[in-house]
Amino acid sequence: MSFWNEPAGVRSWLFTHDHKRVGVMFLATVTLFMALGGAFALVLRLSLVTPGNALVDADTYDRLFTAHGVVMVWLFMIPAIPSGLGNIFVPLMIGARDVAFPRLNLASYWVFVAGALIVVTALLWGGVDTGWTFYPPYSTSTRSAATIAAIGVFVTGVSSIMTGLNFIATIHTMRVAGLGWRQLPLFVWAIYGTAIILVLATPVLGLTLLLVAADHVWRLGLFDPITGGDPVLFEHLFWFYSHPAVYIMILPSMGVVSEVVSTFTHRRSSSYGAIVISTIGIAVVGFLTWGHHMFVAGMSTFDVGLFGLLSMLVAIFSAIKVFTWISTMYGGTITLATPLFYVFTFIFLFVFGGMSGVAVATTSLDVHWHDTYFVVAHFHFIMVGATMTAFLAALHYWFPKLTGRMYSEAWARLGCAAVSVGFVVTFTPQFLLGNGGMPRRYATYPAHFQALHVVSTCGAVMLAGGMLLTLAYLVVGVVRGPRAGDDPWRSRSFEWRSPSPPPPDNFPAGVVWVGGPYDYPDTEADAELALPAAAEAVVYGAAPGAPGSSVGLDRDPGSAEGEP
Amino acid sequence: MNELLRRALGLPPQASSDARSIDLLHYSVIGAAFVVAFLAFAIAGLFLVRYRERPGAAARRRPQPPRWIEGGLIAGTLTAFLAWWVVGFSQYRELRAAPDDALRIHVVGKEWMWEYVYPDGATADTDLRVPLGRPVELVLTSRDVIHSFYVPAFRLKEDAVPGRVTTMWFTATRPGTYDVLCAEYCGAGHSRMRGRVIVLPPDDYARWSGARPAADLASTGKDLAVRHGCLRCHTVDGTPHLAPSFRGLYHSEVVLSDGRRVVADEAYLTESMMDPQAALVAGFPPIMPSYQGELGGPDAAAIVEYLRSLRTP
Repeated sequence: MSFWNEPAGVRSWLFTHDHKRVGVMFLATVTLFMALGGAFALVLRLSLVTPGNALVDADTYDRLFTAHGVVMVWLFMIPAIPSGLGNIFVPLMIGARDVAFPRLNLASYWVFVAGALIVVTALLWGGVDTGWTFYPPYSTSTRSAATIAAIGVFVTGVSSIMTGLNFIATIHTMRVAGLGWRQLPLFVWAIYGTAIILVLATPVLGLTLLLVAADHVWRLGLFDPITGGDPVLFEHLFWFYSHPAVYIMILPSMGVVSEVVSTFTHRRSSSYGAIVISTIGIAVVGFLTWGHHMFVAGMSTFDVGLFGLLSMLVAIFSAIKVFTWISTMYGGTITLATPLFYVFTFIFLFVFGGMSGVAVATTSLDVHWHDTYFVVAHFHFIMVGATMTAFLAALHYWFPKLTGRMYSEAWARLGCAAVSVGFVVTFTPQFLLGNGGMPRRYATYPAHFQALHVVSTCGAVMLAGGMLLTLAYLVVGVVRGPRAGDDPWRSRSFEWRSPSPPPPDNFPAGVVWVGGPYDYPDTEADAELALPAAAEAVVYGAAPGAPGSSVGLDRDPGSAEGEP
Repeated sequence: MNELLRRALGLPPQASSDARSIDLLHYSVIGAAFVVAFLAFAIAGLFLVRYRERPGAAARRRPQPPRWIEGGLIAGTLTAFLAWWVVGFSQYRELRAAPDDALRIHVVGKEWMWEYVYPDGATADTDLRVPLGRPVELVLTSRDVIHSFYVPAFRLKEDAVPGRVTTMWFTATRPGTYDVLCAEYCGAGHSRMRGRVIVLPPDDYARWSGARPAADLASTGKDLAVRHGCLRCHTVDGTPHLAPSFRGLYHSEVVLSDGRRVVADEAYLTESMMDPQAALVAGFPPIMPSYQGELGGPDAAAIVEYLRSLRTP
């Protein structure tokens, strides 16, 4: 009996209050949109094989890159890890039987679907040619369906806010007895930071997009200079949301990496405090760096210096995380498995992509590299390279948790290799294109850039092949993979304390937990003593006040972590 | 070394006075990116091999790594980031501060071409011609949507924003012809909005420039101001009439009717021609008509240059 078939019936899924089912529906939906956005990208890459308009004309090209950006940002990356994986695992990781507001959770899914339908309708029926950034006065004067797309994105934003509120309330109020803030799993901290950004930043996006739509329809004179507006004002408002939105995508990914690293090295994080502080640091300082998108937009020199400095500060928090993950591997007991291989790819792409971000945050360098393929390569290294590999790491890591079965490890390693190599081959040439001065969003280009574009397209085909392979063996694994057992990775993390797949209510009522999520032994002597399977580590029914009756390491739970 | 790295990274020729120092800073950041990304990957890989799970291995104590290592790494990283910021921002400030004697050329972006207005009023050519070794300041605006004037060989770009005036400056250091590209997406013709900047040795530039009938942009602006009736309300001797005098107006601070204080720069002056009531100087009646549609980009630029010629120290 698991949440998959209890209760049974299609209606019980469509109107479910079970956070796991809502999460699964989100996952299925965003995977569909990832495939759609990927298909758009593939057509773009293929048409860039020649310098002219061989495959699609400029007008179609503009609609395609807009569709690619809008779908990938708002219909895949922003909801994928928070709304999809977060919904499933946050309650499981804090010992809750559901989120704080299950009906609001269901509503957030259907509101997302409604918004996504509006967006896709606008993109396919007529098309939108503004780019995902909707810069006026182009967006307020275009005859394409920009207004409808903006309204669709607004609606998906409402869904984001609902999810964010729900997570904040859940993490504050639904933690199981015995689970303090200092034992909170790092993925939950990451989702908490993300939820804060979702709740604070998304309203600004909603407001801005509504104003663009109003300016387009009623000529209010907000952003369009012909009617007395200021396009640079839009840029400020847009990036006030869209820069923190980058952290909506990457923070949950970082949470996934923290979990995977600890589980597969069987090692507590070398500094729990560093990860938590850097998570909150990114969430807060990330709000103050939006101006680095506007170094050549006519902003004052003082503002440029200030935003450049703040961007360096937010980069340091990311560096702290990388140091901590690597030092966690030191002295661990490392199990080689696909999720960890994805984390390796993640670390390489994230460090290189992050450093290329430092390059464009360096004010004088941005003047040349701004709006070139260098920037395209930079944010794809972070957003696709890091977010996508973390998403895939999470899918593989939690696959047995969610389905109770195991995929083929051999195929998974092949898929991981194809995705990683395909990705590097796609985007490394784009750094060189940017160096050479190739601006982004070009339907045609000077002929001397062709060789690098061809290499990039070959990589994209390989990446697409790797993704299809991954989809294929995961589907096979769901249908007829071998039974995985409750805790195949021998993880101590809390979500494995319930059976795999979990029952509808996750845990029996009245559970008390002892210990932290990373109670791995620091010495091999400890390791031989106990790495109990999850079923034993579960402290179901332990009487309140009698934590000693549980199975686990004989250790004071409060001292399990470093000082946060 | 510079030339080797420049070619390896696929950078265009260094044709402006700032290109070389910008490239050197870029090498340092990208070099560090390579080193740390491969180091991180290699160290993680080393741990993976060294500490991989081996059934039946002898028990060995493996304490957590000491804290000072992470502390040191963080301090080192922060130092590097701040150093890049200091060097980068000092370069950026230099890119912002045009010398007073720079040759001023107005650039107007529109879907999908660039128009140039030289100090002598000529506007016809679609190539930008600049003299070698002399500072050139470009005064940018746009007639429709946002464009961005980008010369990769100079390592420079700046947005051309409708309703605003932005500037950029450079000193070309190598004769030749270089690409001008639009770097801000502006519609179906965006990728075809390409032009050329031709750097001429000073003699050739003088010959090219002298081949045209002599007139300068300021006197073109004066003709326009007469023709459009500006001088009926604006005097040129400093005495206020129905409107502020043109003399000394350029880059002076004015008090507006709503109490704000603004500097009458290019952006303000252009706005006042196109939308006069938006920011009215205090003490004058709101009687000026809009010249939107009547004055084109080059005309407005010429009138601004005329006002500039009437500035007082």
